[in-house]
Amino acid sequence: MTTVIILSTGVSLWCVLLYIRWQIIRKYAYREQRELERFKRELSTTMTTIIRVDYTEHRFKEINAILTKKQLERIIILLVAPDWLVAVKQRAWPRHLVVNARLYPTLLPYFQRVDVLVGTEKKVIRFSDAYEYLRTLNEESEEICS
Amino acid sequence: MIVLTYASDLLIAILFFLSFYMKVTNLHQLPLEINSYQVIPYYYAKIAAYLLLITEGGIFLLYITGLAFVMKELLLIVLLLVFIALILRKRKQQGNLECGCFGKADSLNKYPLQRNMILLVIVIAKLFLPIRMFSLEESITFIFFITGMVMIYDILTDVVRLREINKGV
Repeated sequence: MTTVIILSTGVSLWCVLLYIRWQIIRKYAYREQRELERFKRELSTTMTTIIRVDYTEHRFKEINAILTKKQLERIIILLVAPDWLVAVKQRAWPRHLVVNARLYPTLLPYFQRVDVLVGTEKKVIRFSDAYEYLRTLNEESEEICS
Repeated sequence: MIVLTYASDLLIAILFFLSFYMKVTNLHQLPLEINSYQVIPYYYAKIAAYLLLITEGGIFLLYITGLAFVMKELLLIVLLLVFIALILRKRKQQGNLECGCFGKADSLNKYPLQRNMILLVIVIAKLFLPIRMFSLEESITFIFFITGMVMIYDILTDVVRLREINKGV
């Protein structure tokens, strides 16, 4: 008898918590999607991957090396750096769309724990590490080439 | 002394469920995390991810239900030693001190080596503690208690994040 009571309370607790979590995620995802759409419209691009790169990061050199490669998929790079460095990098990474992060302050809150946002049709996929994401992407594209 | 047995069992169960939950809720991230250790070839990262999830979920259930006495402690000791070896290897290669093992729980991500060492000591100490009795009701209550707590923690961090974004707009 007690088992049944415990089980039913527990399961109902689960349902309530899952419902709350689902609502919060939906609210967040809606805002995020809207903000990304607006951003992409402003830049008039159809690229789906936005990646935030900070020039003070200790692996900036490695990230730079991967981004200069030719076969990589085209991505939007939100570069957190002084204006002159952004200008330099816009020329150094011609394949990608380099954007000065200072100009889009409303987008930055969405990059608090994440470095990469991939906007697919239905939802936004998040990755927390820019370098690891690029490394995986690079390995994938190298495989296709070979 | 029996309190210590309970405490260590629960601590291990909470930690492993937290890590399991954070990984499941951000499943895309996990293969990248595994790739960052550079031990497993790129194609197998996904399989390794599922194996890791099964192991972590399994350890949570084992420690909650008290099945496989001594075997589960040995399993956990081996697992922790493997984790420590991997972290040491990564630190040597990349000088990277943090791990994403706990997703949003940043305070647990900061010192992975010390955390695993402490956990290892607790598991070994647990072998010498008195054995506790397990009952079905107790196990079920603990399962709901722990999963509920972790979910509430997750919801709270999400609320904080949402509020920050509202402030920015």
